[in-house]
Amino acid sequence: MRLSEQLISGWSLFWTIALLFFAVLAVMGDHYDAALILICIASFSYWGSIAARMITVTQLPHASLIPNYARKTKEAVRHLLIISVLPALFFIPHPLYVLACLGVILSIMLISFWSLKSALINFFGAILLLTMVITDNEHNWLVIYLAVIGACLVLVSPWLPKRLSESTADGEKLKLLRADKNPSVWYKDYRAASSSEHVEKPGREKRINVDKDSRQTLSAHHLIDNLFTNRHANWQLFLLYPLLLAGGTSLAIKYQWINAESNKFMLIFILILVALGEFWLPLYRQLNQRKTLLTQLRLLPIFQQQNRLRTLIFLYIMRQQGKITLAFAIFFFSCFLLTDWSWETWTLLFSSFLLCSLIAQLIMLYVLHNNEFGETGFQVLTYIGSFFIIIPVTTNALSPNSAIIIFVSAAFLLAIMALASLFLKYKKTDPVWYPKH
Amino acid sequence: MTQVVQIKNLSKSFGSTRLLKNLDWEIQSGDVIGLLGKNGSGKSTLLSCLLGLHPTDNATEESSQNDSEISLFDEPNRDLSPIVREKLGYVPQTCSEVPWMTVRQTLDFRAQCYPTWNKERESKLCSHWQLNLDARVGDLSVGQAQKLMLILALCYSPDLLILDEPAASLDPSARRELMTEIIELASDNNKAVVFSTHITSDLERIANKVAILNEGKIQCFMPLDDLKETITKLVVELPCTNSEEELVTESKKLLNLPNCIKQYRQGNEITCIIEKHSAINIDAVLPEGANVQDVALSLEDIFVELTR
Amino acid sequence: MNFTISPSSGVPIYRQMYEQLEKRILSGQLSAGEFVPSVRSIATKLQVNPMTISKTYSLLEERGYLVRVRGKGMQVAVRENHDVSNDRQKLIVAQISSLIEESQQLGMTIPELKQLMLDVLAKEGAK
Repeated sequence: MRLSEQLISGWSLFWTIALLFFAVLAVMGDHYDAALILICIASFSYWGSIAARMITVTQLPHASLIPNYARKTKEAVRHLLIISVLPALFFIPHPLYVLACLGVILSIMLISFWSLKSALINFFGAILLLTMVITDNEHNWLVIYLAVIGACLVLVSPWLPKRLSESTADGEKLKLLRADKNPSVWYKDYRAASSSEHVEKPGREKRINVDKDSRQTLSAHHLIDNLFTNRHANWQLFLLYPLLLAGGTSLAIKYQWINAESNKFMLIFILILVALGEFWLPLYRQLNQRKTLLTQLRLLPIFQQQNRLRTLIFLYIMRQQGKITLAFAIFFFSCFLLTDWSWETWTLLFSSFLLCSLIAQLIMLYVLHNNEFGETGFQVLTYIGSFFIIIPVTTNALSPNSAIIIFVSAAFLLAIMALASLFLKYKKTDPVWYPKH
Repeated sequence: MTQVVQIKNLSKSFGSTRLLKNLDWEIQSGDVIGLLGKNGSGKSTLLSCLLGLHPTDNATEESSQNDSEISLFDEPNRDLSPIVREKLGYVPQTCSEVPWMTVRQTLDFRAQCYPTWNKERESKLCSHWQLNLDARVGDLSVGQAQKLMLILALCYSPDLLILDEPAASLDPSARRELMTEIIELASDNNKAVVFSTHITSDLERIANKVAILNEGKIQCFMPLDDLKETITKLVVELPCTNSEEELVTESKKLLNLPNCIKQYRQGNEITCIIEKHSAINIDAVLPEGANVQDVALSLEDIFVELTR
Repeated sequence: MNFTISPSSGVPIYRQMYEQLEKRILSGQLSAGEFVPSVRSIATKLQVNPMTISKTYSLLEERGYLVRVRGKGMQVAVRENHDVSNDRQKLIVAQISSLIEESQQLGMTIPELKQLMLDVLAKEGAK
């Protein structure tokens, strides 16, 4: 089997075909612009998953030792380009699609040559922003605002927390450096305590000789650290999500799928989507981790320590977050259907819920992990972004016809998130949290 | 015998810790070398620096020495030609293969990179090691992943095989199989194998040379048999009547013996690690009534004594 | 052919092998003209480095116990009876001297040891 064929995952192919099918339906119903958006999303999801796989292939730590390895991978990319992109470029010579494809190709090339993993996500965002900027609509100020944030992110990304963009070895080093600087991150001790064989890195000996009990407490610190890392390392995704939604909405407004009549159903749906998007990833991760987390925690003597309260609060929120959001969403939605309150009221209520959740997270971050405070800045931006999506939608509600298209698009945005989160999962270097079996 | 690896003046630091200090090492073809070192002594770092996977430190003003030079098959390790790369096999400590590929896909893809890939050996090892070919690499257990990595390195019979703790997570029967494979490689005089390990019994079986990495340098690199034959421990028990001062002078005398590598004293018992015992006339330096015991050392003992 | 080796002892493996083979040749377990197993087969069987086995063989060759037959391997040498008994004696003498050393460490005098030897020999003979 050729590498190029291996790079295409079954799921991404399925999503792509499904999206293209919807696009064909849209064309049949004369929704050409909707079809275009769907094709764009299909290309994002298709190329996104390929790029994610490509990254793992090119980032093989000892690839430099394998003869012809680089040549083989480059061949695979070239082959993929020929079989997938060029025909598409030929048949759909629409600037938006060409731009999207070019953006993705560019990011793949950047990843292969420059080997900055986060380039991928940044470029997705950047291309989307560009798309929004060139599509002239009445909400130019919003687009410009988002474009500025996105552009700033792309520009400063080399200096941002490096967890996403470090190679395995460097990432390991970084963790050690962090552990040296900050005594609250006892990463290395956890490793040292959990495995006698892996005490290989320099500087680790310093704190190994702690007694057994405190070792276990340290591993509790590590546990918390690790969960937070997983939760917050994805800020770029959290930013991307509302950006994508904003893009979709702006386009919908521009092409007047969204008319001035209010559509309560769609509005609430989008709000729920925003909320779930915000909590979906942690939920997904938790499902993966909970088993290990709970088993390990039961073994730890943390409940005798002074951090008992913190741990309890933390665990409660971490465990319940997804459920809480879902429950609130359902509650709001049913209340909305049952009462005759205006949609503005519900928007306000739901937004304040999101805000409360944000504040709670900020507090948690501060209490448990004050050195991570910088990253919360991006969280704040994400929430602000979410509010800016809500506003245009609330002022121009949607028509029932376009609702379906937006629904499908949003569903597939989530699919992209799923792929992206898988891709992040692969990149995690910590073997503790992603057990091999 | 040709020179396979030549390391000159290798230094490597992590932050302010200097892990490897101006290390020199040479590896000849035909050698099976066991690399021993304490945890954190830099074995893995040495092996990956040797292969050019980690950048080494540059010459600084204070040391004012030349940059490190590492060559593999007479080529600088920074810029290896495909021909040399085909001769290299490396098994890192942790599995770094692409997690979404299946075992079969990984093997097929790698086989494309090597002209000398031996399909028969691949299927033989896969069936002996009961590796599920359709499992995803990311789902393999640690031991299975290690087996896969070993198969990936063994199937093209590399001229230089570098194994970083290969047996750490293998079951005993797989370890045996690995030993057999290494023996197979070693039977060919053009091959060299370097492996780091903590399991000295494995090393004593299959290695013909031992390298001990201690304090950033190769402290000892010699044939295993020579090491066992030349290094012995002398436990000298002095009469209890000796005063503290006498004991100190006696131990100094012993330390002045030629080839005394290490010495430590507990009460009136002095322990000396001595190289080439037969050449020394120990009785000449000892006072009356001293009881000398000559203890043969196993490799593990030698390692413990030398790195103490 | 079976060998017992303990890799983690202080005695190098090639020495252990040498001693076992020497004994077998001197005792006649390996008769003259017989081929010893190939280096590779022993190495795989005992899981030791082939070089160790070749070292043993060349040492045995040096001492005249084995001869190399081109293309066929190593053969137990045909030797004069006189030489064989000489070597046998050497082996026993080494053991006796270590016995003497041990008995001296235990505080036994030579006549005592001699008496003991005679007693044990008589007992063995009675069997």
